[in-house]
Amino acid sequence: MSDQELEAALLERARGGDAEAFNGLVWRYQRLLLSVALGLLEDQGRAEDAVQEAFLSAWTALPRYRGEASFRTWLCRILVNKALSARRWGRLRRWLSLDHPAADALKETLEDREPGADPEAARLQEERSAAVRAALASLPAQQRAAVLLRSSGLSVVEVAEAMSVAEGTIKAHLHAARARLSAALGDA
Amino acid sequence: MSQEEDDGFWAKVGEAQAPRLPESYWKRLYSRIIAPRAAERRGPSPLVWTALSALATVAIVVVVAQFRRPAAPPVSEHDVWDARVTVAEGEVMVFGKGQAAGLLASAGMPLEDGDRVVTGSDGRAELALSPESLIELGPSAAMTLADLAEKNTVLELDLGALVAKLRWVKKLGRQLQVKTPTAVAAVRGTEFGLSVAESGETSVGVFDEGRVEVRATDDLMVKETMLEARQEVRIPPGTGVDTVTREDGKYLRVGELERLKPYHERVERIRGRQEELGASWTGLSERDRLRVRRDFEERHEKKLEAMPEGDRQALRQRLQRPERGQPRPGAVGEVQGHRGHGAGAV
Repeated sequence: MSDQELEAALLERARGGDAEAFNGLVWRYQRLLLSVALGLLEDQGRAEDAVQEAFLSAWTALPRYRGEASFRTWLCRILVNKALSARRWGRLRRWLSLDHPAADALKETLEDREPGADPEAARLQEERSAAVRAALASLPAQQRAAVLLRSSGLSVVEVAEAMSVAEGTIKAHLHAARARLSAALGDA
Repeated sequence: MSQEEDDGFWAKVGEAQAPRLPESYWKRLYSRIIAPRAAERRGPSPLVWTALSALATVAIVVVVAQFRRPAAPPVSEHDVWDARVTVAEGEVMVFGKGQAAGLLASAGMPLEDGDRVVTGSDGRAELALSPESLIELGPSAAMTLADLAEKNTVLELDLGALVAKLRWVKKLGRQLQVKTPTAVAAVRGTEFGLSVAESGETSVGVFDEGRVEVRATDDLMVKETMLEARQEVRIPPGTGVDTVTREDGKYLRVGELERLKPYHERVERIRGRQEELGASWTGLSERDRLRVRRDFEERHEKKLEAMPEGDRQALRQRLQRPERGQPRPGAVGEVQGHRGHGAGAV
């Protein structure tokens, strides 16, 4: 059974209410969703909350999923809505001084250290990651969401579907972000 | 720019910004995500839910009336033990997976998949998988926590003795195996011990309760043998293992608990510790566990820096993970010529 067939089978069973099958889908997509949520929210705890809420909403809404977009795209749409909503709510809370700003939250992200990795290569990789994250953090929210989804493997069309905007808008977002990200990657 | 180049650029961005987190993090996140749904299943209709609620209420009343504990949810394949060091006496070192230098362990230090715990000749370590499942490592021991998944926990004891008491609920689907250079012990519960000599010879025993199934890895003609309470087997390296022949094949010769009898008092001590730990235990999320582990690593470095130069150098040398077959100066647990495991040996 191919990967796509397996996903289709899991989805079919999950739509029928099979929680175990849905758990299989959670395992497949939690990394993608956390990566996007972390990029949008810059805080591991809030990103985890957003991912959990997105999966819960997807489980509840699954009977209404018609398969017009791929499951991955549909899931990303739910996640982006949750994360952008959490961002807005977070800004309001900070404005009301209920929360402290999470400026350095990403620095505390609990990254795995490659066992036996070359320390110099690891340092360079870390620097590059930090530069890319800083460049991402400087982008407006919609642009950032587009970049995060595109860099997670979605096509321009899928990103447009996930964000419910026109394909041309996504192309414009990606074009605008590209120069900053090229510099961060050392490609410029 | 071609489509291929465009895809390549965004893949590079994705690779740079994606979080690199250990496998255990994803397992815990998964458990956290799926947990709320266990209580929030979709149902066919409100009427059915009402009927089910009424049935559930009756069931709860019956259960409470009989003073029975409600069943715990089954263990998922992604559940991982919230394991940690709970006691470290004398010299106890922990080598993280793939890490060249070890840490001096102390109580509260979280343990991860692949950690190797080594005790000195004066050392003793109590490790908890949970407050109810404790493992004590004696002096001059070396053990790797090869897999901390609750569903299939694997420990690799290369040298020394361990004594354990687990709260083992078979219905939950948990399994634990202890591998030694000459044997594999599949633990059915609950109080057991193993000791491994430098030659690799292994003794496996069950104390007052539980069952352990033992297999000799050097002699595949010998069938898996079940040990009951107060029984023991001895498995030397090679094919010279003592066996008995039954109708359906050869089995390990099972004797009364003897070699491991001196460890019996340790089990009694562990029984008391289960209660103590149960009262003080605070579960840690994956994030907290990793943070606490980092704190331990930082404190360890600071402690080293505060030492006089000579002492620091000597300790750093002892904390180097030795090459396979090379003894560590002044430390035990890695013995020249000792038979080790592929995955667990250093």
